Amino acid sequence: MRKIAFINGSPKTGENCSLYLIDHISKELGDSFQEKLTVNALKLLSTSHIEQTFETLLSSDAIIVVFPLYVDSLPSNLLEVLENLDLYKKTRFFSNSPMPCLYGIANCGFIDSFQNINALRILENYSLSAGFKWCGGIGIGSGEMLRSTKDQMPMTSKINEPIYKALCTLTAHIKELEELPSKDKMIFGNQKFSQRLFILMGNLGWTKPAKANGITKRMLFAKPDLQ
Amino acid sequence: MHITILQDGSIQSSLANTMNTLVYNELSTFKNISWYTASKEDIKPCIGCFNCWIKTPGKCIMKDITASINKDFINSDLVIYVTPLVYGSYSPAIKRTLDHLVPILLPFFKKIKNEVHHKQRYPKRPKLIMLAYNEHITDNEKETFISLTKANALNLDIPYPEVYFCTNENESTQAVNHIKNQLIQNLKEVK
Repeated sequence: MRKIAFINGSPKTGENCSLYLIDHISKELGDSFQEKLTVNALKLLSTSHIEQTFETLLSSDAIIVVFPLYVDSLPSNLLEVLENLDLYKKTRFFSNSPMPCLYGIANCGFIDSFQNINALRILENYSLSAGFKWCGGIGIGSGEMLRSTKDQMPMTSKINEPIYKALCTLTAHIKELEELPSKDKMIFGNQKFSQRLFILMGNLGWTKPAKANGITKRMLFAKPDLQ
Repeated sequence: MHITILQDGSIQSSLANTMNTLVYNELSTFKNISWYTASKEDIKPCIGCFNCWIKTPGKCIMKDITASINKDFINSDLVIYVTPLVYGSYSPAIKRTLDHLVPILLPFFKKIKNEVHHKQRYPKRPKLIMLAYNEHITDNEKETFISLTKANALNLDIPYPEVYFCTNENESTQAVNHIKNQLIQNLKEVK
């Protein structure tokens, strides 16, 4: 019986792109894995049965770490969970047990998917340090736009083609527990937008939700702590 | 010259104690320093709510030490991060403070060096120095961290930070003394 575990590194409450990507991959994997588990990294930090979850993660065939890019790298809550898992594994786990394959999916708000590269490198360093089999990762651009427009522009739409292809390649290799075939085991995919259009659309999107909070466009530029 | 120094108070190791003591002993003689000891327990993770952009522009809605850190950050000439190097990244505690820097940016985008980034809220940003320590640091971790700090600099639209790696007391002493001498030189030039 094959087991797969997803770690959702998003600290956001409610809907988030990481969860959207996990749902997508989970569906694409079909019945390739008989047991599937999704762990929320932030919730795991405050749970009382963290060791039980770590045991389940370590007994999986594949661990997929899915997260939003925070300041060019992993969100602190995810970093903390991975460090705790590493420490737990080093003190408790038997060294002769087969190690899970580790894959990463980083998504950033910017359209430039290559901005995820440092986060994926950190995951690779982590795998080497903790003794997981690093099988590679994908970096996705405009993650929040991808999720928020999923009804108008589904994953299979022309505009999302590069992202969909990256996810298809990743899913195919997860099924076989294989390394990604690309350079440095990394694949990057953007929505088919120009940077110029992305900036234009992105800059238009803040005034309306701010107004709902009683914040004018001028107030958005406040400099509250300047001395 | 206003300097802000952030250390990680979560790590209990011989090298962490050495590094934190060295930094304090050698640099506390300078005037106008704001000291912070970050701990995972005292800082809640940023939840990406963006209220710091659209509800309380420039301020995080969570009330913890990061509000004060951000205030000192944007009013400092130099910020020194003293961080354990974890897989080529900042430590979780130091990363918490960085994740909470979102309010010092504007939600609006611009292009820097052919990449999309956020516009800056404040006209002045500090120079950064990174003191990264761990008993064991691989070449890949060094390379990753240097690349990461360069990416951070692009996000803040500032020059690339100075990065020091320390794996023992000797390297830590050398790095801290180098920074101290640089500061003395800078202060002389200002006078």
